[in-house]
Amino acid sequence: MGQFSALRFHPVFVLLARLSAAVVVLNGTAAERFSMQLTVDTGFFERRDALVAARLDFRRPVDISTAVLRDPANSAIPFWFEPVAPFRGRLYWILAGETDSLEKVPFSLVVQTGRWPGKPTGTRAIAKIVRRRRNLLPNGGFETPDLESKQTTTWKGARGAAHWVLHDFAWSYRKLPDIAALCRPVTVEAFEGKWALMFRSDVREDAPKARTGIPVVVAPYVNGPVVPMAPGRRYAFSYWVKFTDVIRDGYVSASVNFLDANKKRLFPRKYAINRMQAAYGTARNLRDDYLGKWVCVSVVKEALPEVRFGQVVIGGSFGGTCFLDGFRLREVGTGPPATVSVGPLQPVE
Amino acid sequence: MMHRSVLYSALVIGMGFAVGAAAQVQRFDFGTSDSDLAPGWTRITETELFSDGAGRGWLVKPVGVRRPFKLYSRDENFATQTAFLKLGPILRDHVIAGRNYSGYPKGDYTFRVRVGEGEFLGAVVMGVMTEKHATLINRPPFWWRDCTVRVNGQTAAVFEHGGIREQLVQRGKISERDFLPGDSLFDRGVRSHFRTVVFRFRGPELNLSMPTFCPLNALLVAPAAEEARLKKALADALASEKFFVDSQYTETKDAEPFPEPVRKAAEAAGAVLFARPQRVIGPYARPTLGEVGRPCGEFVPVGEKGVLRFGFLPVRDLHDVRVSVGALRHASGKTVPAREVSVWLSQLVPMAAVRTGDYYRIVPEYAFRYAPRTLRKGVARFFSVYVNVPNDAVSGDYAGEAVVSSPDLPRPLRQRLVVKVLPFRLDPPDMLFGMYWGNPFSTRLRHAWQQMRVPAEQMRELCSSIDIGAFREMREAGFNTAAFGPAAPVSGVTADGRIEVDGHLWQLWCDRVRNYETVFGRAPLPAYNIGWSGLITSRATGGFWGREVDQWEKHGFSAKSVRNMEAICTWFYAQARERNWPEIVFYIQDEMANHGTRGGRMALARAKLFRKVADRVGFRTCASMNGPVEIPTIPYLDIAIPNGALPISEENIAYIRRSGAELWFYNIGSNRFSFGYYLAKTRPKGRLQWSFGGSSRYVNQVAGLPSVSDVRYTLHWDSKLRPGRRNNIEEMRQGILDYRYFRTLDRLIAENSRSSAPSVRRAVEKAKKLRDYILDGVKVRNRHSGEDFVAGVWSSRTCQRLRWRIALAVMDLLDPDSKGDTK
Repeated sequence: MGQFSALRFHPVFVLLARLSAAVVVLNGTAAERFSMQLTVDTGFFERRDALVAARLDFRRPVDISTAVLRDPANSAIPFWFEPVAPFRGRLYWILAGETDSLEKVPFSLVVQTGRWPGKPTGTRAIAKIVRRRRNLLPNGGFETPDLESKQTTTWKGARGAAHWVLHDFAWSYRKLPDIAALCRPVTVEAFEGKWALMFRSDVREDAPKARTGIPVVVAPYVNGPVVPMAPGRRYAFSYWVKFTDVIRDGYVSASVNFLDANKKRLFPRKYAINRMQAAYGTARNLRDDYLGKWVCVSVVKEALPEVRFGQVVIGGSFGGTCFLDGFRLREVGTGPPATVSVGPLQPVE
Repeated sequence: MMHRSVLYSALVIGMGFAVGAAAQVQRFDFGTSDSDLAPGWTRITETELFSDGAGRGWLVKPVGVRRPFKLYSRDENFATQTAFLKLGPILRDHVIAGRNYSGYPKGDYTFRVRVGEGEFLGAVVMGVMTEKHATLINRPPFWWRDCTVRVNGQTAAVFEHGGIREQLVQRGKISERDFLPGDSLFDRGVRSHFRTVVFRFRGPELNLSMPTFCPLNALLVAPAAEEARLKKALADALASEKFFVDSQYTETKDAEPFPEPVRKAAEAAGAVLFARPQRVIGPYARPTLGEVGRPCGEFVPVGEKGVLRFGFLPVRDLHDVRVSVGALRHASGKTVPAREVSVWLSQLVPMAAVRTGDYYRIVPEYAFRYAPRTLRKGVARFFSVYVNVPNDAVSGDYAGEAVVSSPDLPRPLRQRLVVKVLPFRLDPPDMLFGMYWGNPFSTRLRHAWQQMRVPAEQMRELCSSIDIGAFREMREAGFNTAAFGPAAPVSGVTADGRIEVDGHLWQLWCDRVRNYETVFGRAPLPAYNIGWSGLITSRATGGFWGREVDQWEKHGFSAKSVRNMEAICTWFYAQARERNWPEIVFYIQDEMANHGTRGGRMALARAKLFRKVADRVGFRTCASMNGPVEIPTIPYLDIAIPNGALPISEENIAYIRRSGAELWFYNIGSNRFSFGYYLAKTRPKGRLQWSFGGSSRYVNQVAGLPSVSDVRYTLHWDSKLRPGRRNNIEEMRQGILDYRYFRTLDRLIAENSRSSAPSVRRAVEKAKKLRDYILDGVKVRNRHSGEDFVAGVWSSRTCQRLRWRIALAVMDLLDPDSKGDTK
């Protein structure tokens, strides 16, 4: 038994086993049925139509298109499956309705051996929800260049970032000579991937708005992608920032401005509720905590009833340089995701 | 909701028609030169002194007055109070002969208008909402002082307010009044603050005189024969004002479907009772089938207070509704007597809703003891039954019922109540729980005292009664301390180091400490504001005040200020020892991180200074810290109190402990979780929260003020001057109970962990598993900890379900071999 067990997990054996299984399947051998128990633990939070996810390892080629996921009432329910490696993948489905906290809800998945899909499959509506939970923002890490980057009066870079409109400074400062403020996708720093956005502001005593002895920060600004949002849903907006030099205290601020159905900004009476603002203030933090370190800045907010879209904007009031990366806007529940424990794959008689 | 410019246009058109209908009525609108003016009204500003040519204007130098009165016009549609209802063109502004509540000279000022010979009628509208510094809690003297309005030397009206007690009773009556769906915000929050007087006089001129603190908003004059027209013009003007205010806001409703079978049954019975555990029942709640007839239950250890909450939905108007709850009975015949049971009803108030535009939501925000009243049809009400389980109660289920009767109901309705008394006592908290408590003298009574000349002794008595009432209610909610400081009793320090004291303020402070000790015993008193405005004020120690960051940055602390600060602290603690006060923890500064890195540097310098003085004089220091820039102060503090904006993380908590400071928390959420399980994990020595009462914003003081304001931090009093119970206080009470349940479990695990009895070991293992499950689930880090934060606060429902598991585990540990019915 011990010897067999050791052999069973040897990589070569596993590969052979998988190949032979695939051959059997392709030769038209009768498919076997397996089931697995998936138990959702709601944890410490009540859930409403929560998206749940489970990592599955079938250890054999299965035909996901034959899979049936059943809820506690034994009804078949829709799911979305994304393979991540041979015979392994993530299964997503909805815990429908309201479910109390501290509950364990059993589901079962029945699947037949067969051709491993190699690509995502299932109900597209759930795929859409999965995407909303990951990141609504395209190119949140500035990895994809804007191939048509055009130089303008306020932007002199060569490589832009797709979905982001970059401005080195405000139009009102265009007559100032030698403005050092700029924003550029660069590779010298990156929190994730290869690229990050360098955000450098200039401190000027000759700016029109500078009063005697009080210099003005001339900072870049960025208009990000406009993405659909839904009223009443909770969103988390986050990004990573690394300051490399700060010559004047201030903020770097990124917001998701709430837009209505016409993509116009909402201006409620309490103006601060019309956006999700995640700002990092150098004056509010210790230099040791932020200088030369990647720091996450995040905010969670429920979208107002009138919200249909959101647009990311980035600005700053500090003097110096920072790098920004990993912008994420995602729909979240009231708590961290529910956990799923996966039972062993059992043959079905 | 209607946009204000559209609204104003509608108003202009509407009033235009009214003008045509009442052309014989002269109308004067007093106020600023640039505020809105309704059509047909003549603007009168403060600059229009009387002249023969104009035939109207102000007389500001009465006989016997040395200097003419200075007049002011004020527009109250200011922007700083966002929750303040915006008023229409007549009520929004006025002219008055003084300002800043102490700047009103004695005497009358007069408005004169030539009208010609004959008999006339006049009508005035007078009202003012705020004083000059509207973000402070100033209330205008017009609200407090009695006054007489004279017309051509004859008394036209006398406004009397009664004594201070009558005024407090009056305010209690306002708090007792519900705001129901369809009610008018204008009627609730505006109309009652404006006085209207109709008077008769003889021409050729009208001299309208009133004391300098009386505002004048509007004056209408018409020949006596046109009485009906004048009264109609006045009524139209007020109706337009009402339309203006009420049209600004739209109610946002959380409507629920009313299941047909329940509706039919309710219509037959006249009303329906229902239970909805761990949920607040708003006016639009509609019971489901499962909620009707469901018993309302609670589990309560002996010696504790439980609350059973249920909903009541009348489907027709019900008069004289009575709710009675008798004794709760155990199967053995034992009872929880009726005197230990009290019924409370949550009052409905409008509160601003977070939406685009001007919306409000009607919420059951605070509860008073129930007294028979009319309940309107279609409005669900939220009842709470508090049950004090006696110390000698035997465990088991106690059943009773709430009986709701009314002459309009065919028969009384009954809600079944069950209290499961648990066979153990909860451990007392091993830490301090407290809330900030505003000085009644500064928040509720100061203006009355100043304006009404209330005798000092009566003021002391009132302050004490308010203090005691609030402290007792805090104790009822589970708090064992209160955070408050003195109201700046030190007026200066002489060159030889003698402390000059305002005797009245000092006496009030001494009274408060005595009242505190009466209720909370010898528990340490965290004296909020004492060190940055209470004792160490800019008056006595220039440049030392917590907010004087600019001055400190330029000049530092002067030697004189430091000397005076030391002298004040020495004197104060000598007084404390002499009077045998409980420990007064010296609160050296408040959220200096709000001033950025400069505030952080000043905080550090202050902390170092106070450290030396505290060590020499012998007292403990504390500070609330609202950002990372205050972290360097921690080694100089005895008690470090992070607020919500300081990165609360395992590392920072460990740093506080390594530095030798006690960890307390302040303002990390006024919810059940942050008072309960969060503390079980983080184990601070104190937990404070703003604010039990004494909200600093003027419009948030009383539910009936002109606002759809935030009264979540206001202590409401009824007309019998008894404190009410707010929803968030009840949440915190439950959190403190959660903490005590957890502590009881923790102790029993420790006490039983060495037992060799298999049943005990089994119970201990189960309890440990539960304890670890809970502790592992609590997320310590807050959103300022530099991580991708999603959420971490458990709902009250989750907390309650965990509490039940703890209760089972505790009973198991206490009696591992039993399978008693309480399990």
